[in-house]
Amino acid sequence: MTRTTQWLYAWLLLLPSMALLVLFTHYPVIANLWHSFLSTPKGSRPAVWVGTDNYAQLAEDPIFWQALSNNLWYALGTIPVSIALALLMAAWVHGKVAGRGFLRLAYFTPTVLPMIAVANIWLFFYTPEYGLLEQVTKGMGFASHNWLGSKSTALVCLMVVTIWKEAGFFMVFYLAALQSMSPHLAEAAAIEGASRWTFFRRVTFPLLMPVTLFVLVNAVINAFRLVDHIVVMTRGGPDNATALLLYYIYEIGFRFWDSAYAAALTMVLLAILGLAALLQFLVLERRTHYQ
Amino acid sequence: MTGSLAGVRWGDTLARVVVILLLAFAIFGPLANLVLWAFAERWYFPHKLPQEFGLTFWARVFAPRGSALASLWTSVGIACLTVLSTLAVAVPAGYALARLRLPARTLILLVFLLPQAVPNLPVYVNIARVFYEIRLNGTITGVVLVHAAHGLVLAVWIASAAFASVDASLEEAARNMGASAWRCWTTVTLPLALPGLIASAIFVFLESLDEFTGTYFVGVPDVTTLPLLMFNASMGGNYQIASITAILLLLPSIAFMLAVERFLKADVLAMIGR
Repeated sequence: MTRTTQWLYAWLLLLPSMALLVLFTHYPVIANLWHSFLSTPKGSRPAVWVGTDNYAQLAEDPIFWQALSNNLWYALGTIPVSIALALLMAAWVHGKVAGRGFLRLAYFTPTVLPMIAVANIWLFFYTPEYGLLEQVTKGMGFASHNWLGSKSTALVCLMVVTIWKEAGFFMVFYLAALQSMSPHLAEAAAIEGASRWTFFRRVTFPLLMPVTLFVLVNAVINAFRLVDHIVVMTRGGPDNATALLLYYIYEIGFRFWDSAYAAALTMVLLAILGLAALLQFLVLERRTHYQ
Repeated sequence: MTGSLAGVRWGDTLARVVVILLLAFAIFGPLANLVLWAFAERWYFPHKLPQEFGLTFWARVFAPRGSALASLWTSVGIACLTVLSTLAVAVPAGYALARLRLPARTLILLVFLLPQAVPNLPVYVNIARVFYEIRLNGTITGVVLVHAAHGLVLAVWIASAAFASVDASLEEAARNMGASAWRCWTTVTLPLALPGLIASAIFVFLESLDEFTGTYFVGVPDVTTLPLLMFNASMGGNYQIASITAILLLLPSIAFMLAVERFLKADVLAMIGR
């Protein structure tokens, strides 16, 4: 096959999926950018060009800033913990533990559950008075507390749900990397008298770095694009304590029908995620050098 | 000396058991609560456990003309169609990315990678607007298209990883022995990549089965899938129906998880994103 025909074949093979992706993800994003510079059409008044008015509105919107800071705290609270847990669980089920198959299954369970079902499960768990959590804390003699209903704990409760769901998924990638790691390394380290901690810190962890970066960027992206659990569990409340950026967009777009302002908010979110994706891409490009 | 070593080992084991039990509570505690609700006939404050257990709500869900059963079949049907249409485009794309020399490969990868970072919600809103104009809103076709676009990114990645993990020298050997390109594909490449492809099919199936946001914007009110039914039940305060629907959603997920364990080998996973 000549080089040109191979290119031709490759393009033909790629074309259908490219078309689907462009039509259903790239085009809507560009349409969104365009709408963010227009006003919201109302009744007989069509949308008109308003330039950056929507963005100016955004800078003065206190709820937007709160949603943004909520989202940053949410990211800060979920990402390190779920990655650390994933690494811990992977290291564990990689070794020889009794009931290893069962453990792997247990860790992976939350991952395969639909987010909407997960949200329901935890809604029951957090229910005041007769949720399991309340029963346990009351059994230990603590005072009753409305976990999702109070400003101080609602966001933390959502973080726990996210970590619960995500850690298993990240574990799968760590586990795959651990399993493809040569056992000679551990043997050599053992002969040299390295402790298990030293071996982990000096050999395993550096070798897992590419996976960690991959997982990290995925975690960042997830922190900004998950919304199902908020819709089911708190609806952004109480008093916007759990309003993450994407949920706020949903509210603006579908409770207040301000589609232009929602489009501008979306562009901010896309900019954040685009940055994360770019990071992932550069990291993935570099990954090969680690091998 | 040996005594202290044994002591260390005992402490180690004890610590492990404690951590395993804690993790087990963290993982299964919330699930147990769900199961309680599913079988609760009456459960009012201040009772710690349901006053009555029973199957009335199950009977209601599985009634011949019950809405749950209908939406279960809608969900499964949509998921199957999604898998077929996604794989039809993802397998060729995965093969091209893994095997063929491409100009601007990096750029193409970027095009395939970016949707992974785009939040679904605003995208679905725009799609819904377009679908409304071409009358695809509220149709099975529309929902399948949205699910397929959603599952495509992951499917292409896994398919490409599956093809990349097939040793190219095997294909070359087959061609050297005089096998046609088609024969080489059907007897060497495809069978070797099959576990990875099955895994990607499973992922797409699950994603479609569990998909909520897209169906919410494109399918409502005519297409009611299981997640939508559960959302409605939960919002309506009907905890029993919501729990039972959730369990119905969990079963295929768990079954498929067992299948993935079998099909998704470490060598394929290690190739993802390369």
